[in-house]
Amino acid sequence: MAAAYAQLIREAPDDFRIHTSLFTDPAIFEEEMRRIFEKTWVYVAHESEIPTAGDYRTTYIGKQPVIVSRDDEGNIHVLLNICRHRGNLVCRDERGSAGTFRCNYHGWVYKNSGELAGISHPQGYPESVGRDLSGLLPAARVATYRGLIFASLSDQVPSLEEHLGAVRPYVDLWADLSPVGEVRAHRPHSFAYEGNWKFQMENGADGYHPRFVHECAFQTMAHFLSRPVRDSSGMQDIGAIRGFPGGHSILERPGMVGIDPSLFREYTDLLAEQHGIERTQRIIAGYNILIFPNVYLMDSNIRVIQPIRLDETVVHSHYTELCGIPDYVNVARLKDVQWRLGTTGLIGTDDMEIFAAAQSAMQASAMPWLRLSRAMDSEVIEPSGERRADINAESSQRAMYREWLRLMSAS
Amino acid sequence: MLLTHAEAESLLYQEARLLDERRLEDWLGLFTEDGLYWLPMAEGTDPLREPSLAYDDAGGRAQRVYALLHTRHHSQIPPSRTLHCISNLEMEPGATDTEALVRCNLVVYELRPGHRQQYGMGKMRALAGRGEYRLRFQDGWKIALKKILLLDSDQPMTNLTFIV
Repeated sequence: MAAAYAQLIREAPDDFRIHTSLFTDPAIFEEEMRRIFEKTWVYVAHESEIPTAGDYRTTYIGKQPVIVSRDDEGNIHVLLNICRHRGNLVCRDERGSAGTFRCNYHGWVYKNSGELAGISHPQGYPESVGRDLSGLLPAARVATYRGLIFASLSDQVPSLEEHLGAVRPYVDLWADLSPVGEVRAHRPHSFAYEGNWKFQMENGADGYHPRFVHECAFQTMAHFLSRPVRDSSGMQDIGAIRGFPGGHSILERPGMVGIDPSLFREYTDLLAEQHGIERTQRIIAGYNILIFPNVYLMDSNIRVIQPIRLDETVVHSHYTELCGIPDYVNVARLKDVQWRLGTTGLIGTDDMEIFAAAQSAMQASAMPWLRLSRAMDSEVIEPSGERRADINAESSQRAMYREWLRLMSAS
Repeated sequence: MLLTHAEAESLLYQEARLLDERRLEDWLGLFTEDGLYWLPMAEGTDPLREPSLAYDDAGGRAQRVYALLHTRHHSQIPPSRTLHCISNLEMEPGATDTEALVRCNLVVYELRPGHRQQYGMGKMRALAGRGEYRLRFQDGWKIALKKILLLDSDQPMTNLTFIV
């Protein structure tokens, strides 16, 4: 099967196509879960979601249920949420705080570090069982970067810093939106859309679609806002797309999307005090940062993509409050991000309508190839492997599918 | 004059009808100037500091209605047909001549007509929630707050682009 994936992504110097079976073949979905989600670094949570000892939240790495916990010493663990006895979930709650997790089937107890704390009625087992089953299975690797917690179920991965590679300085810019470098991820706006997970992955760093998909938002902004619309991703041709090795990419445009930082001098002055004027300009520029395979950092939110099935995906869009800035700026940021990307917002919802429509259309087998070749001829290729082109380029999607192919084809 | 149970019911029924008939500009007129349309994500949250599904002041409502009626809002093409059903209406004690708090249950049936082969089309959905209406007498009884806490307010939502 692995060799066959190369047949599904066709790349020539001026042509890049992917096959629709990437969206319609259930076997490929299952393989993606194994070969991508279980083999590379996956974003699992933000540290601020489990701020104090004992806090936990549950999530999934692909299809694997995990608990992200903070133990009594404050260390972060990513543990498979499956009892070592007979395979029951040891925690059903989405989030909470606990010293121990007790399996509700036969009462085995685990500490919040994962360690097996007790087997009920242990006399029925040989003495060695406690040693053999040391506790909940941990992810092979866990690491954090600027508050973002990643885990890998495979130990055959580079360090997280190395994995982030060229996208890492952008993560720094995003985290430095807070002058004290600290953001707080809130309860998410959560969406379920009827389409493949890769649609949302493709979409967040696609600068070509907004003027069409988001006509509604632009028309509404133009009608109601007294100041000119700043969102250049849809209205102008300035900005850039950068695709990186590792499948990551950036959509970059001058100026923040929703809020006008010039209205918040008190905030930008705080940034300038910390970082100087030049870096402050870079920090408040707008970026959509795609970290392959499952998370976007966009100005005021962390957008986590959770595949459920071939044609079902959940997106959690966590508003991120910035620490160390005036309260009214955060109030304005929340209002803006909710209006654009929230559950009833005007932008994210129209993206998802497209995902459902695209998933519906993929059934048309007479048209098996999808084109992602835009701006291949004008793309600048850096020695680092970065490929850069204008904001309407499909450099982001190409970077993503090159990494998709690398992981899917790995032996 | 205190708001009667029948008057409260009649106002809520009128609102339901305006929404279901997509007379959304008339719907705007049911609110006080400082009125709020609020779909919290959880009970007890601060809408200015924590996310809500929707938290619209007059400006927010006007934008939402404009987007629904006058723009290419793809997730509402074709628009949702809705049926708002209100029940279990209770008047909170402590009402005055100018203020009243009304609680109710709300069920909204929703359908986007279309081919069932297409995701998102041709399937009836139901939303349910608890409603809290703060009504104020201002040249007639108006809505100062419409707060609906959906049963699944903190769960993943699919196409919540119509007005609940």
